[in-house]
Amino acid sequence: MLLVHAVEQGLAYGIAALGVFLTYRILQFPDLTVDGSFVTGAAVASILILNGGDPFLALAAAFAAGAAAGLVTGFLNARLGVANLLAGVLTMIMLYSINLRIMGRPNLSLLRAATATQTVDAAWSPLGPLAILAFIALLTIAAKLAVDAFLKTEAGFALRAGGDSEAMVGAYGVDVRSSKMIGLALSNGLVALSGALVAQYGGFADIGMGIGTIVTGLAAVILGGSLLRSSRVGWMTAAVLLGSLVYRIAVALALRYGHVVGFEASDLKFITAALVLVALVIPAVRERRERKVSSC
Amino acid sequence: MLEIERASKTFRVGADTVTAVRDVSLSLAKGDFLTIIGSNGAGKSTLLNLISGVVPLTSGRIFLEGDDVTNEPAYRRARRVSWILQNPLAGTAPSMSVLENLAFASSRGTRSLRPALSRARRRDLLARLEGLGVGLERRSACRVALLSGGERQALAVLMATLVRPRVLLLDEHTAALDPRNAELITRVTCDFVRSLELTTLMVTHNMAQALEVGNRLVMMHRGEVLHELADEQKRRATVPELVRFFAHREVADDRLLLDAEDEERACPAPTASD
Repeated sequence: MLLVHAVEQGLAYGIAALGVFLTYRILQFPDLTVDGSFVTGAAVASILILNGGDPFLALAAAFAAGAAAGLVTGFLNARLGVANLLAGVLTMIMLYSINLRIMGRPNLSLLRAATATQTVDAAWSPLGPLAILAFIALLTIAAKLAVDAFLKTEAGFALRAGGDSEAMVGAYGVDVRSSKMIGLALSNGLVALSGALVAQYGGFADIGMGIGTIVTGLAAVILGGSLLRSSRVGWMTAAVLLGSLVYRIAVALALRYGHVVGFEASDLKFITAALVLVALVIPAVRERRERKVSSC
Repeated sequence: MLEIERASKTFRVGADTVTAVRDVSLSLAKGDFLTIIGSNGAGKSTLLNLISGVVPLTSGRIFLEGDDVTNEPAYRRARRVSWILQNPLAGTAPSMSVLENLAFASSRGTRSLRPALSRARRRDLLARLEGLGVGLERRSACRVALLSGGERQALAVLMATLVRPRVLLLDEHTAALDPRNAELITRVTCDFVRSLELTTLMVTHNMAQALEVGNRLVMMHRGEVLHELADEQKRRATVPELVRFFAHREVADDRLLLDAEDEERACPAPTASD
């Protein structure tokens, strides 16, 4: 059961990791909006469900709300010229207040509400304890395939080329500002969808549940990228999901057995950030060492 | 085809201003191939950037096929104007494959949700790569980051001409290559210019090249067009004459004259290799 839950979480958070992949890897834009838009997705879906809305439509609504948040960051950066990190932080802080407005209070319980996961659990009873896993896997794979398909369209090519060289896409008739806004909208839509799914699966929405979304997303992107190296779009997104799975399984094991070496659950964010830091620094250090050797 | 009317560009550097292009007027007919020479800081690159729209004018107007494009942003002007820069790293997308770069260039300006690389387009692009004659068709699935500077610039030339532009701008696009590759890229470029009858402006430091290609030549100095040679006059002109002209006006810098001396000895100095 420990493994099943870890895989469920890995897939549910994997959708957010796909969003982080789009900005960090494709757009080369470290987008901190996600810490806010993850909660926005959870908040929008929870409020809709608590007011009797359809839990599946609530997922779509969460995507739309997240995409709107991404557009705000895109507007700040591409149209108003605010630096990318700052644009994300500003939107994230604004979202904190907006999320509280949406939720009405810092925490909403969905335990007695008809969520998508509960509906699926009842409807797909032949699958037994794997029903929820199957549903989350289906949703995550659909998101992955949608991202793959988009990145292979003309619009997707423009996005990828824009991440490589802004000057170059202008020379081929693409307004890099609008491609950035499209990419940020898509990314934050995915992150909010993930937030909505996690809230329904976990049975609550909390104002603080988005803290570190960027870091866990990066952990999945970097971990997956080192486990499965490829420059093909389909493999790159598969690697992101793999990274998310491995990360969640490692977390589950750490929470279960970490007390043996003195870890507490609250140490998790520190350890994750430290791991991401190490993963970011290793390639740079390796390159420096190689250069030293070759210059001798 | 292209009319430049009293174009000027003044850059602000702190409290000072620098006029990079001063009151330049040029008119190019369809199929004209103009080479531009001049010392560092003569305003050659800025002039091209004004035409592409990458840099906005301070004053003056630019007309393309009779349309006033003075205030049209670069990405929109790119539907009719192609440009290739000196730096091979800037003109292609390194994380995408050779074929993906070409597909991106061939859907210039459109950004639909259609697949960028349909089977028919893939076949067409592979044929174009083969026509380029530098062997890139065998590396069509390679990421561009793995190509050499010469290969990248060959790809950039194909990308810039894939959708036939009205005007092609070349900003010393062979200067960062070794002599052998520079010659190859020049030949490939000239083939495209001739077969597509492109209206072309080429900035170069190389006087021999400026005389060899194209039907018109202008010399720029401190933002102004000093002298123009056209057709018969240009065909008869020699490098020593150009050097004398420059020396007489005391407008040439060391690099231009050194390059010219080397060319006279028919032994071009290797520029920075890729």
